[in-house]
Amino acid sequence: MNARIKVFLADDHPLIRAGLSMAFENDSKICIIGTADNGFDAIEKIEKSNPDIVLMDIDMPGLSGVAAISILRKTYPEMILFVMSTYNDRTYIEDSKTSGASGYILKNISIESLARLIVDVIDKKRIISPYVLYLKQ
Amino acid sequence: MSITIPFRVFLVDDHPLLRTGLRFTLDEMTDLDLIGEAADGFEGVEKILQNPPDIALIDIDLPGISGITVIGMLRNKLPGLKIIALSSYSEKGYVTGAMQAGADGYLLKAISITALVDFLREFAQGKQPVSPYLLDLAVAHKNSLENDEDVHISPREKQVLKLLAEGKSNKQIADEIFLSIETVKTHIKNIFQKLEVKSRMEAVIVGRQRKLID
Repeated sequence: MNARIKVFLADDHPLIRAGLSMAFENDSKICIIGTADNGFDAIEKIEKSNPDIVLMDIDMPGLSGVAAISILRKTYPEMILFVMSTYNDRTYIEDSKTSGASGYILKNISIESLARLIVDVIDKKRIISPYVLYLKQ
Repeated sequence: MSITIPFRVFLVDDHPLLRTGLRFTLDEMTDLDLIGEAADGFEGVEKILQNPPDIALIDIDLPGISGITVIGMLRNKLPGLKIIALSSYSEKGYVTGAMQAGADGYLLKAISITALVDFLREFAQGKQPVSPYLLDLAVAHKNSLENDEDVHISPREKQVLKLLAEGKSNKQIADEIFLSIETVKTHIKNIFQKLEVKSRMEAVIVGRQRKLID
């Protein structure tokens, strides 16, 4: 059996963190290995847990998601670092690209689409999703 | 043995991840029942009117019609329904807008799942919930108008209270308004006395309820 994909989630909304953790609790392919509610905490935990994919909310108190990604990117050139955002905003997308994010995902994505996206990214499949506004391929 | 009739909750929010969190949590509760959910305002109004819950949680920032419009429509049709606005934003304009549209309360989305469950339970039991995430409550709003004149805080204290609300430390407040830490502490002590509170968090809540700060 293949190991489950290790996903880390940083989001300041406890309801979102709980939703994602609960949704993947018994999933056969994906496992949420850690969560954080701000950028500083995220960096610290990601360094310890070494996830396959990071989902990083753009809008967090303290250190923002984009700032956290640009810090992580320096140490982890290959890590898949996705920005998650409520905003379909050109500036945010550009900032994310500059920070070294691997992609920009809209937060109104469904659990099912997000699961498919995570699996397809790891399998290096071609991604076409209305919720993905930017993807480095 | 008594049988509890569950308190029925409906959630309107465009984030499936957030809806899932609440659904999974309430699934395990016997006294709270998530009877339905909707991803936008149209669907929300339609479903709630078809089968009204006891309490509706309405996200302010929805695609299509806004949460505030949804609250207005629901209040118009269902005067007895408990409506709580759910929002990421603490700006006064949103809070006032939601309350004027007929919300019973304005709750920040930064609330934890456990705190939200406690909040719903207190509503179910007819109590007036208190929470640092609750920026406005219909009852508190009325009280604040009556109590407003009872509290007099100086402009300096008001400034300190505002910085407290921003989560600043004594040192940060001192640096920002060019005072010594000791003076800041004295201001905070006076604010606590005047507002009859014991913690910074309480001071901020009461300050907001009494409209001393935004």
